[in-house]
Parts: sequence; structure tokens; C-alpha cells
Amino acid sequence: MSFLLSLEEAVKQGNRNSAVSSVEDALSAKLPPQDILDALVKGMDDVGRRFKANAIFVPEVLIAARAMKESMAILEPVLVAAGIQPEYTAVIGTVTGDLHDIGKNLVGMMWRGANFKVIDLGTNVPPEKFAEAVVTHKPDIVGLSALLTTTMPNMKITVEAIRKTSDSRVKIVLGGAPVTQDYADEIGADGYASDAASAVDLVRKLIAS
Amino acid sequence: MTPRERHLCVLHGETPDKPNVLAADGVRSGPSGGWVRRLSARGMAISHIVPPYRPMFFFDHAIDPDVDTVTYSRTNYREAGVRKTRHTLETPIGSVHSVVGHNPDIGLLTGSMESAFVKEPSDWRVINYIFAAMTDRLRPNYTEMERDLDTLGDAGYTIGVVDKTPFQRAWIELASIERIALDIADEIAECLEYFETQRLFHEKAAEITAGCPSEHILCIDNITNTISPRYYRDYCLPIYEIYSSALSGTGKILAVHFDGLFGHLKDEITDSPFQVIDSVSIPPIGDVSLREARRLWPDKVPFVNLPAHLAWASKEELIGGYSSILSDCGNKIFTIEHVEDMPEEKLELHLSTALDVCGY
Repeated sequence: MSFLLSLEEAVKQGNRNSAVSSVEDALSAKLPPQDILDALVKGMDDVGRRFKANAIFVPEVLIAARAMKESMAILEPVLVAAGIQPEYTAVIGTVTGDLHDIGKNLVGMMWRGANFKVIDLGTNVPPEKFAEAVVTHKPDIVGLSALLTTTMPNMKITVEAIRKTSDSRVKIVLGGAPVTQDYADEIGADGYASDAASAVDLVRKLIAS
Repeated sequence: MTPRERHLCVLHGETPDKPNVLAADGVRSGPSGGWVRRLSARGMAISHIVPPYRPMFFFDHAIDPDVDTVTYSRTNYREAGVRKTRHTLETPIGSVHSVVGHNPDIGLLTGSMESAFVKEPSDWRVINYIFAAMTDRLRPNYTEMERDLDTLGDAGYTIGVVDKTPFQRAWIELASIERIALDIADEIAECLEYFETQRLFHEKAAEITAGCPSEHILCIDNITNTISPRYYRDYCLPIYEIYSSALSGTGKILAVHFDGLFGHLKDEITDSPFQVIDSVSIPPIGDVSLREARRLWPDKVPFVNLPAHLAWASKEELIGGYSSILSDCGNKIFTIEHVEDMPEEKLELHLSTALDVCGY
């Protein structure tokens, strides 16, 4: 098996030792860093597909993400030196009044696995902080999370604050237990993802459109 | 029927005069504005939760192990406008601490763990020490439960709440989901020992629970799509079986609390020995409809959440929503309950609409 196939397989299986050694072997063999990155992303894409299909679950995804993360720690300096940028930039956070972070963290992890640069603003993030981040980082996407029915309305205020910035191309997506597609439509968000795996597909689809 | 009679009737899978409408008052901490009194007068039931045994470990409300060799302390403080609590557990073999942030503006007992007790694999050792000591100290808490049952009288019922199963406890109360997932995958010895320590705790807790005065035993396990079918079979089902076996012949009913998404566990739930599926979220929030739940699990009683997607809906929309619950259930053997978050200002509207639709 080639280094790249073995790397892709190692990520799919969540085998961090094999993933790391495959990256090292691929770099020693002078394979293009973009190809190594593509193999990692392909592995995580497969993980995302199986996650979405309920064939694997959060623990398995976390184990695969560790393999990806440890591989990226080796690959990242090489990517930077080669001038290879992440595919998209995303800002993510849980809206003001809400301290829950598991859903947000899972989406951030899946986005990183898809080679997005993720700026995580944390939890209980006021609308103006999201707006500032949009101006500062010029992301392609902003992800808003809320777990509570009581904090859902803060998504609307946040969407309005972001829309007031000059960056009109930014796409805003929502997620969280009480959130629905209807609610996303109602408050003028660009999309809604029911789970972390869908959040990757959603962003790619939105940006492609 | 009194609310208490109706609650017990539904709990035992028998047909009540009307579906049970219940406010889980024990999990709510915010102001009521008088709605509890007004709706109780109409026949709404109230539930409280009391553990059948002490000590219990219920994050982050009842953490004190109450044993000689473990010192528990908590410090409350505010940081950047958020109320936080630092919980510290000190033992002869080391200490662990956790920081919890309390979600502002909601009157529900819920916190978000910012920093977990188990940060490194070696912290499981301290946790195991604490639970082993707690197991030795386990004793009945029947007096408190009897007192609460007397206090509630015909207005509702006191539910015997028991500890979470090991995997659910691990990621909700003790460690991050990442920590427990990686430690299981890496077969960390202290983590594997944790599961055995938990089994021993539950075996003794179940024996005590079997003798308690309440007929309604609830494991607040918060099962959702975080847990895989395999982990459910490995770490939840064996514990439910321990309780089911202990409760057998006592007339007590075992309930398990779910959170939202459990469609991936249909087969596992079929094989589970509990009789009540607590806190069913109907679609689009949940992924199992009430019609499907009835078809899949005809012997299990659903306790249905106030529908979160209608949290801010109008009275007309709520009538439609609650009428759907009624028709999808197909008979009166179910409960509509307020047990998850819902805006305080909308609670009376939701519960009074549920009462209207259910013929109160």
C-alpha cells in the first residue's frame, strides 16, 4: 500500500501511530505536501460520511480526529513553508447566554478535519464579538451554536449583528438541540446542520453555490 | 383521579382517566410566578426527585461523597459576568477539581462543565478511590423520600433518582467526551478499573433502591447520539439489568432519561429492561416519532417532553402541537412533562395548553 493510501486508512481507523508514521514516510519520500494533506482530508471525509450515516459515533470520530491532529502537527510546518492555505476560514461560537460547548467543539473538529481554518470564539459569545471576528478574520463561514430554547433567540440578534458588518459574502450556519431548518430560515441564516458531520457538507454546498 | 393516582397509573402502564401532565419541579430553580399553584389546581402533577440512597453523585448538585477520607469543597465565584463553581475532591492518593459555569437567565438546574475532574488518564485513579469509598458508605435514604412523598401528597409523586451509568457519567460528570473516548480506546488500566468500580457501586445502590418507598425509579442517564449502540450495550445495558433484577417483584418501575436523539438505539432500547422512556423529544428535535415509539416499544411508557421546537410558538400552534402528541400516542398511557429547558415566560402557556388538550 502506498504511503498516502496507508495514511488515509490510518485516519479512517483512528490509528494515530500509523497515521503519524505514514506522514513521516510520505515526507521522507518527498511526496507533495498537498497530496499528503488530501489523503488526511479524504480519511476524515470518510469518517464524516460514516458518522452521518450512524455507522460510527462520537467516540470513533474523536479517535480519528486525534490521528488527524497528530499528523497535522507534523505536516503543518511543511504546508506553511509551501504556502498551502486551509480551504476555508470559519468562525464558530456558542451564542450569548449559553455555556454549552460539546456540539460546537464537534463541529469545529469536523471542520478542521476538512482542512478549514477554525477560529473558536468559545461560549457565551456576545453578538458584537461575532461581528468583530467577521471584520478581523474575514471568514467564509460563521457557525452559531445554542443548546437552550432560552438562548435560541440570541441567534437572531447575532445574525443581525453579523449582517450589519461590511462583509456580505459570509455565510451563517446554525446548529444546536432546539434549532431547526425553519428557525434558520426565519432568522435569515444561510443554513442549518442537524449534526456535526452535516456541517461540513453544508458549508461546502453553501460556498459552492 | 388525583395527580398522584394518575401518575402511578400511567407509570404502571394502565389506562388513566386522562393523560398525565407533569412538571418536574425538582429540576427547576427559577420563579414560578404562581403557575405551579394555578396548574396544580387544574390537576397537573408535580414530581420531585430524591435519591433512594446516600451518598449519590449527581453533577453538579450532589457531589459530596460524605466519607471520612475524602474532603469535598466548593467555591462559588463570578467571572466575566458568569456564575461559576469550582468543585474540589481531595483524597489520600491525590485530588481532582472541576469548574462549572452556570448558564445565565434560565431557571433550570443545569451547568456546563468548563474543566472536568479527569484531565489526565491518571486522574481516574482518584475517581476510583472516591467511588469505592462511596460504595462502602452507601445507606438507605428512605426517610427523606417518605417525607417528600408525604409533602407532595396527592399533588404528585416523588421519584427515586439513581446515579448515571458509567459511560454517561464519565462524559457528563467526570471527564470530557474526548478524554473518556481516548482512554477507552487506549485501554488505560485506571479507566478500565473505573467501569468495574462503577458496577460495584450500582450493585449495592440497586439493592438499597429496591427497598425504597417510591415506585418510580429514574436513571437520569441523558442518553443521546453521543453514545454508540456498542457502548450502550457494553456500559448502560448491564447497569439497567442490575436495577431491573433488583427491582423485580417489588412493583417498582424503572425509567431512563433520554435526550433528544436515540433513533440509532432502537434495537438496544427494545432489549432494555426499563419500562419508561423518560423525556422523549418529538421530531423535528428528536428522531423517533411517538407513533414509531409506540410501534417499536408497545410495552414501554413514553414520558414526552414539552416540544422545544414550539418553545416560542403561539397558543394556536401549541394546540396543534399538543393535539398531535395526543393523537400520535394513540391512547392515554403517556405523560407530557416539563423536564427540560423551556423559557420561564412560556411554561404556563405550554402546560395549560397540554392540560386543555388532554381534557383537564
